[in-house]
Amino acid sequence: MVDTTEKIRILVLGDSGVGKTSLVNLISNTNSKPCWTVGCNVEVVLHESRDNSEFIELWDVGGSSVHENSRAVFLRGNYHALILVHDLTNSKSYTNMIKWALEFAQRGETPARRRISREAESTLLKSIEIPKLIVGTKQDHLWSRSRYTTDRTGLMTDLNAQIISVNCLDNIQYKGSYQQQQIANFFDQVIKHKKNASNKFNRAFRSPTPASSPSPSSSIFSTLDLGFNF
Amino acid sequence: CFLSWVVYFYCFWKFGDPFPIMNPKQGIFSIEQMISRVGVIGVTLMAILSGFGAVNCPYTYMDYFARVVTATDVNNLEKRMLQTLEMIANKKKKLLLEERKVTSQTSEKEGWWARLTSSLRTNETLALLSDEIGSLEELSRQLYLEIVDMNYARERLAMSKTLLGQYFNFTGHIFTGYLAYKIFMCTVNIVFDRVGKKDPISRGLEISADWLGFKFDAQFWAQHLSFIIVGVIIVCSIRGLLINLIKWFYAISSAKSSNLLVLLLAQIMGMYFVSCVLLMRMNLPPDYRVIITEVLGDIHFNFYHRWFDVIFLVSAVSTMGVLYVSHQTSPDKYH
Repeated sequence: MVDTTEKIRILVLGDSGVGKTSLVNLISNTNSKPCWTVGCNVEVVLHESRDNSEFIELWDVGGSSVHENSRAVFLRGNYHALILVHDLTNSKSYTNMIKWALEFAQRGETPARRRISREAESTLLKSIEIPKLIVGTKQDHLWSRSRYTTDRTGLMTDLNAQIISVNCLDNIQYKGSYQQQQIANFFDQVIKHKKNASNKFNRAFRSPTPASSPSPSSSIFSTLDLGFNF
Repeated sequence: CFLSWVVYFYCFWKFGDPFPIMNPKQGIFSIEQMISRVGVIGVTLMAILSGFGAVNCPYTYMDYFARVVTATDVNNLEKRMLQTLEMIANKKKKLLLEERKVTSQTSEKEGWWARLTSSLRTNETLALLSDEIGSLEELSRQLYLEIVDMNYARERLAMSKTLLGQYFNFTGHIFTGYLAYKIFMCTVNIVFDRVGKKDPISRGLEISADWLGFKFDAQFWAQHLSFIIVGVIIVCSIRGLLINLIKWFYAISSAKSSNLLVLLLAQIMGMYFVSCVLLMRMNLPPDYRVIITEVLGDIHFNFYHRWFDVIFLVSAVSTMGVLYVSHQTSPDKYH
């Protein structure tokens, strides 16, 4: 049966024009409208896992720099996973994913122009506890065999994310393909992580741990506390 | 592509016909003809841009016209938008459930009439849901754009309280004065059909020398000052043009047309520069005017100045009209 009370929200971030909206349309099997995202596009996927079916909401936030001052309202929400999208033909979008991850980690509160040290960036990236996925788009445009751009800053390993690459415009080839399987696995992982987090939360609520012991519940509190429930 | 270049050149030529710049003494391909046509287009562009800029500049700089936006306004709009997005998500979930019902129903073996009516009903609900989702998405986009505008207004308010903002406010007042003077001079020029003989720098220096009793070599200072000021004006206006062109370019370029657009913009930039030089002739002392006249050939300079004044007046007045109307009709609060 479909569980309609629980909300599973995934945030999709990336540079302007890399193909976030096309990716989201591909996953949710809707017709793509070829225009730039203004604000946020919400698509819903009915994900069939082994036990039951779950609704997964994909929130795809427009990445153009003109709207930078208003994006924070989306970043503040309560999300269960993060998908970072980059363009395989554009190496700048690969390095910009770090900036997007940092902006998400700071919940859009501090302006992006303020510089923080590399160690602070590394700790911030490690502090993102939700599952992360990196998707490279426009695979059909690659001239040679895909060779990943080297990560010069070394910060991608701190992100600790899965990596897949896909061609967002080919609906027919996607069905039943390996990439679809990878995305389904990612969704399973997200659901499991959410269940673990809520179990820990419930356990912590029912049996309050003494303040002296360093309990994992305090970190769970901090991650769940960051967003306001809208 | 040779054909398209021929067409472009022909249009360019035809464009110069209605203007009084033909001189029977010169041949068809002389440089004067070219310069004259380039000058016409460049001068028109320059006049339009400067008219628009002269009115828009005080409007954006001065605090009097700034919108008053508070944090609560923005918060309210944000809440509304998030609620709309939640509604969109819920409706999409309902849509998916209905679609699943349709696909599961077609596999059951009911009577064909019952199946037909039930499928019609679900199709109707599907269409209804899709329409609702479409309109909700449009609403969320409008709300988001409104939030972006409000955030920009808030940033402007915050900046106006700083030192830089106050400086801008002050220069806004100066620019209003300059605009009034320029409009007055343009109307005078058109009505009385005269072109100034002496450049403003020399005249300004003469007046100040008479009034303030300074004893300095007016000629010497005139040429230096006028060069500096003319240089500054040209640099600023070309910079302004390039900034505007870049904004335009981002707005209307796509993957296919970007090459064509770049070439077109390069042409426009060239024309603009030539007409800048042309018009600056008036601002230089008489000795240097001769140099430019020699370089650009014997064309009717007076015509260009008249043309510039006319277009400037038209553009400034229309910009003022548009800004006034939009200012009055917007429901926002101002100072």
